[in-house]
Amino acid sequence: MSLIGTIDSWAGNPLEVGPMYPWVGFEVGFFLVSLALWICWMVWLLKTEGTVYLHEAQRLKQRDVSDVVGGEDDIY
Amino acid sequence: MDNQLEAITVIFTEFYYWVTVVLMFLIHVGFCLYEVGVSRRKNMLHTLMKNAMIVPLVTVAFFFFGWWIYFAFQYGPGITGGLKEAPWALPWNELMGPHMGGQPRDDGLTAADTATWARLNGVFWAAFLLFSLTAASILSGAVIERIRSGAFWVIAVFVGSVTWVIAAAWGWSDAGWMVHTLGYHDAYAGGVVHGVAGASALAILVHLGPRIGRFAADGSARTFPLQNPWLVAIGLFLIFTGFWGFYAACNVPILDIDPEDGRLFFSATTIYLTPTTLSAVTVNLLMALASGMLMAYFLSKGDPFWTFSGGLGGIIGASAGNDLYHPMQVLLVAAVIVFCAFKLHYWVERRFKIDDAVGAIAVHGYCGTLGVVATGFILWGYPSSPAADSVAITPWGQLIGAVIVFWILGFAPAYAVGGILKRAGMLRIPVEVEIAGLDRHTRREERQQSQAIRTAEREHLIRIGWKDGGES
Repeated sequence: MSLIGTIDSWAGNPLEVGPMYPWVGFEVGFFLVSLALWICWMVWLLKTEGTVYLHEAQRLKQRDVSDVVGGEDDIY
Repeated sequence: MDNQLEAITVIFTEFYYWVTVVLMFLIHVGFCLYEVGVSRRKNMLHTLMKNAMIVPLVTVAFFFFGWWIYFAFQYGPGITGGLKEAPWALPWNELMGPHMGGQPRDDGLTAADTATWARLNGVFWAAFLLFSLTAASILSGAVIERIRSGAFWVIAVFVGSVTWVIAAAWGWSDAGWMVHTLGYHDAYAGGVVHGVAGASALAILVHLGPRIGRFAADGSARTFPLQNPWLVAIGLFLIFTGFWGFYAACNVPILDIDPEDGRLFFSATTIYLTPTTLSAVTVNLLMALASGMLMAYFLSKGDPFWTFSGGLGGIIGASAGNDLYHPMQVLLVAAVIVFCAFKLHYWVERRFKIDDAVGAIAVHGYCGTLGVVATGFILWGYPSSPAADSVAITPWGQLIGAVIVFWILGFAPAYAVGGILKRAGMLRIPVEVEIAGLDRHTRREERQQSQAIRTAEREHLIRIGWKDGGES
């Protein structure tokens, strides 16, 4: 007998089979964990991106215009 | 399912939507190629990732709340009722997972719910998700080369999982309040997907501003040359291909028309459950594509970017009524709408200094919304739904519907979100980085790695006995 699932045998009447995934009854918990991870990812992204652009802008400001536009690193 | 006819019908429907999902994925591939083809070399990786990450972010958001919004909001803000019960669309519901349709364990479900939704909930969800990805991707092209990815993804999730879904609930469902009070008709989502997304792009561009150098001091617009016309052409051809999936997904493939009259008559239907045929809409899609390309070629004097975009605009312009138009009507409607959208694009660009890098507002926003209005005249008097008390399609019903999708659900919410992001300093890339190129630091790291690898290779050759001339 499955310890975590809803299916004990495929030999029964399939018309009576409902949800087939394991851990039935814990869906709200899975949802809350997934939602928290998704929100954390967005917050991490927004923070990281802001920091990267801040550093890059500061680095570029220390250089001459001719280095940034038309210099060795320039691609267009 | 305990009889063969029911099994064939249900499993055919399940497979039908699965095919539409695969085809519609090509729309996203096409948008990625198209945007990268338009971007300058210094921004290509940023452009690619900005669009590609729509897929995971909107997928998760649409699973969490988008699917439920579609069903729950169909009665509008208290217009024909309150929130509609839709337990099968909640993210924690058993019908969102593998299910054989037996007795429900969830208290909110009935046996009829599980029997109906067990095999179709997932493919319906996926088809709607692909519409969501399309809506978000439409925005993506307009804002390239200066928007922050994070800001864009917030907007993409908002449009892709909230605003267009509300538009669909209101005007693109058999119980939608706009259908039942205004007679709103938008069979292939010209307004609810393309109108909403195009108007949202316009709203974001108002806050975002043009790319540096786009407008001269005298106000005239400069044209950024296409960086890779081949990618643009392939991208748009893939989008065209994906539109067969898009159109097919807007239909129900097989249904007994009016099951309460006691007669059996099976047909494909629109999402409003009004009859149509896959054959008719396939012809109309091709005629709209042809007409749009011909008109855009004429207007742009053969410019490849506009010619391909015109084909897409033609399809979108005819979408609202393509379930019922004759192909000749499609030819004329698509041509007129592409003409209007093309002229409107340049007028808005000059008048408001709007820099829409890919013409998304014209192709999706103007064509989709004008198409909704045109349907009011061409299908004037047709019943909008199979209900006995169906409201007729009218020019004023379509006009009000067009205002709702473009301004109320498209422009206004995106303008609000864009404004918040701008105030928080999170909308636009810093000017130094924008000019230097959004890929600059990535490319610098790549170059450093390449040089380190080259040095290691040289040292390896010396170790195995090759002569070193002293050059590095």
